[in-house]
Amino acid sequence: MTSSVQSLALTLLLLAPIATAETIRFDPPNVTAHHSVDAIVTGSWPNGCVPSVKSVSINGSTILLSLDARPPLGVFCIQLVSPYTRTFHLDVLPAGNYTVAAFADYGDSITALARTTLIVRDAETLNIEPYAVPVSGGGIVIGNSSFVSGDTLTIGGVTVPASTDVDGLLIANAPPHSPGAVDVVVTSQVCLVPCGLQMIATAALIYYDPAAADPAVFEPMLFPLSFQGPGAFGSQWTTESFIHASTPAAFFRDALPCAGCSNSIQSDAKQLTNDSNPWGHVLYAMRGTTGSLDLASRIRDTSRQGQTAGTEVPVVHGSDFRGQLRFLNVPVDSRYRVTLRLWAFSDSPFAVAVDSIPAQQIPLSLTSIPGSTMKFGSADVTALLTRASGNPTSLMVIPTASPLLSPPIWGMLSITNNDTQQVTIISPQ
Amino acid sequence: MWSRYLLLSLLTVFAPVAASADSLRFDPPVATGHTSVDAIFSSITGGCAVFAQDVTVAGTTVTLNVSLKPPPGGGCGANVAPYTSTFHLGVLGPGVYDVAATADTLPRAHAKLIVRDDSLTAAPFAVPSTGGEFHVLRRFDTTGLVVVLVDGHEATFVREESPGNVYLAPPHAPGTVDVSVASASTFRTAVAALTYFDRAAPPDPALFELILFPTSFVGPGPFGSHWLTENYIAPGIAPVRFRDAVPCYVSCGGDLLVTPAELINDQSTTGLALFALRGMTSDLMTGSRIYNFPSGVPQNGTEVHVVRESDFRDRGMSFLTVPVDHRARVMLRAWALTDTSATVLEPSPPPPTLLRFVPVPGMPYAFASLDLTSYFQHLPEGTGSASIYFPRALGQDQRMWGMISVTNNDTQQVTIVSSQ
Repeated sequence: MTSSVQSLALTLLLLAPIATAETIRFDPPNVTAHHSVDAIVTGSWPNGCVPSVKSVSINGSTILLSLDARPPLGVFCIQLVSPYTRTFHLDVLPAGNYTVAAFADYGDSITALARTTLIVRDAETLNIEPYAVPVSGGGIVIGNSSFVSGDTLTIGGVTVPASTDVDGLLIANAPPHSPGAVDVVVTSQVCLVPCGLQMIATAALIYYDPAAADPAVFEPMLFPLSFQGPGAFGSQWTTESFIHASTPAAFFRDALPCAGCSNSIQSDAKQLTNDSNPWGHVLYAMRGTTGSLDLASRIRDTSRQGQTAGTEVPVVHGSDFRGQLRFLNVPVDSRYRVTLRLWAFSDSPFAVAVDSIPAQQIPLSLTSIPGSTMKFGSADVTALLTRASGNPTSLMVIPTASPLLSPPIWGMLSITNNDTQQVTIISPQ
Repeated sequence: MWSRYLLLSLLTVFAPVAASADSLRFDPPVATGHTSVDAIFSSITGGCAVFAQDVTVAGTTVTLNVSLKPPPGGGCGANVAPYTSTFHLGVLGPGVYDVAATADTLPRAHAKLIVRDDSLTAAPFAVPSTGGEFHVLRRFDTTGLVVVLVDGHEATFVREESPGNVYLAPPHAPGTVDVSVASASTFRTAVAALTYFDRAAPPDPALFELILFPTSFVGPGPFGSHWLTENYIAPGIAPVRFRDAVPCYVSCGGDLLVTPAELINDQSTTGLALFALRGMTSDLMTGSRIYNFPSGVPQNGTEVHVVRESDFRDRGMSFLTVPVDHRARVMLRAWALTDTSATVLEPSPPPPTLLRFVPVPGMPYAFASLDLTSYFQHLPEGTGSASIYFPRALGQDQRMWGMISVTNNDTQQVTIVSSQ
């Protein structure tokens, strides 16, 4: 691309409205200044000659992702909308706030495809817990062995008094700020050599909108069941879900659903309350802070606790979500009732199918989970399983749209014996 | 809870089962020329503190050094203290690196790091030393004629397969080699693009990802029970290649998994391990269930978690809400990604209950089991449930995973509690 075209591209990409449905996401989502990052562009192309990666250019805090949209010479492009995904390697970036724009380069013209922001956080100059606070502000603890009592602290250029200020530790309230990352600076007031030594952590504190669930900051954590109450055939169900944390503290977007709980937990164990929502508990954990957590969930029929101690329910992390689900070795028995529960990051429709000839499937639609970006749906698949060709069989969840554009999903089957109320869970592993 | 000090002291007493002191691993285990990599060095100090660390890269030699300093008012004593230092190596150029970890310049650990150039090839990135199929990304050329060279030797075209072409790499001694694609107009070489492995050698974690089925048993158990394990595995959109032939009953394709398959129970008490080539498992699906068969009452069985590398944690194991039921027998099974290791049950009345891992021959992990029935028999049944812990102990790579099975002696119903 010539420099004049490049300049035009920059203007267009940073100012022009985006009319396409392309998206840009980052891997890893929570980027720090010591690790490489990939930008992943996903979208639909109007024909079969989907674009390829052309180049990445980084100019200050602007990153341009160029897709080569010129059709290959001598190749017939099928006129069918085609999904595509392209990965750009950004390598290791300096800490800061970036604007990332993707565009299609046709050689003689360009089209803006997508634009987003990227925060590359300095996670090591200062140890800040938590590294993200809501836009209304919040308490933070900053640790560094070189701190000396009396150091001054600025957050986003605003001088902030420390509520606790001892050697090696500063505790303060971050003031309100709009969403995005700000610099945190600690300046020594002790006139050893040199006087006024500063520790500058660029883009080290992130302000987030608590009404959203920014994937750069939060990852979903799902306790699939939170039910307590009567069930079929005289059963009495209870769910026991626990979170145990050692150190350092784990942080969440919202207060944990347990008695006397806040949005952080450290050196403590809590049992989650059962709210009987069909989607269980959807929590948003701050990325990188959950390493100290132990999790557990179990459901049992208290009317038959002499026969069984219940069934473990997997606790699900964002990384457990995948593009497709296939439940293997599903037993088919008229004495079983079988329920499919499905969670997804969009409300795209799905079909549930069993191995059979001819094909046997039922539709599954999802609805929004309040306060979450996640969707949920469930279906009784007992009758569908009886139409399978074999026993045991496989049960698949298939996106109605293209798999490439389908959001990640997670689901589980619960198989309940009507005579014994024994529950078997089959989860994607 | 046992204090860390007591735990360390106990493991010093049980020195023969404690792990060797130093370990060095990489995250991710194998890098590409576009991905940054961290080196994670674990060791112990004699009471000293780590106050600085630095990285030196000279050609294909990487030296990691930690600097230790004595505590205030004294020298480094005999008190052992574990530490882990993470070194950010950044994005390294493709090649095979010798990485050495030192403490105050004294050599402590050593490992090989492969940084692969993946610009010409796609997974699998490793083949056996007898040769094997690998994937070359399609390259357009004016003539359409392309020759693929593996360490200078021509590979044989096998078939077209998206996103490129499959070639057969010729036999070669174990090691990492370059791959070149030559045409009439171009010649491109990808450094360290393909690694030959020795099937007789232990699985190399840089090449293979462990997939562990914790139970693989069929046969009688206590109280007239008779157990059957059903382990399944299925590829996603693309086939998955393994280090060895997949041990399945039907629909098996050797070391290439192309359709769902039920695995053969090998009766091993330490579980069934498969080693999939890295880069091929993102869509891999697994399932595991154990049944009691002859009870007369049809049972749905109990799902058993199939263990992936990310399930192993380096801070010990916690089992929350383990049912307390005096009619049940309780068994812990645990695996550690280390040769030998040990940890201690918490909380526990004296004497301490040691969980000792024993290496599994030919496998890159160790196994431990512990009958916890009497432990839970001593807890009041009205307790409902209890939580127990096996904290991280002294030693090298302490990543471990475990599960507790609680089996009702009357009904043979199994409840599993996993460390998650």
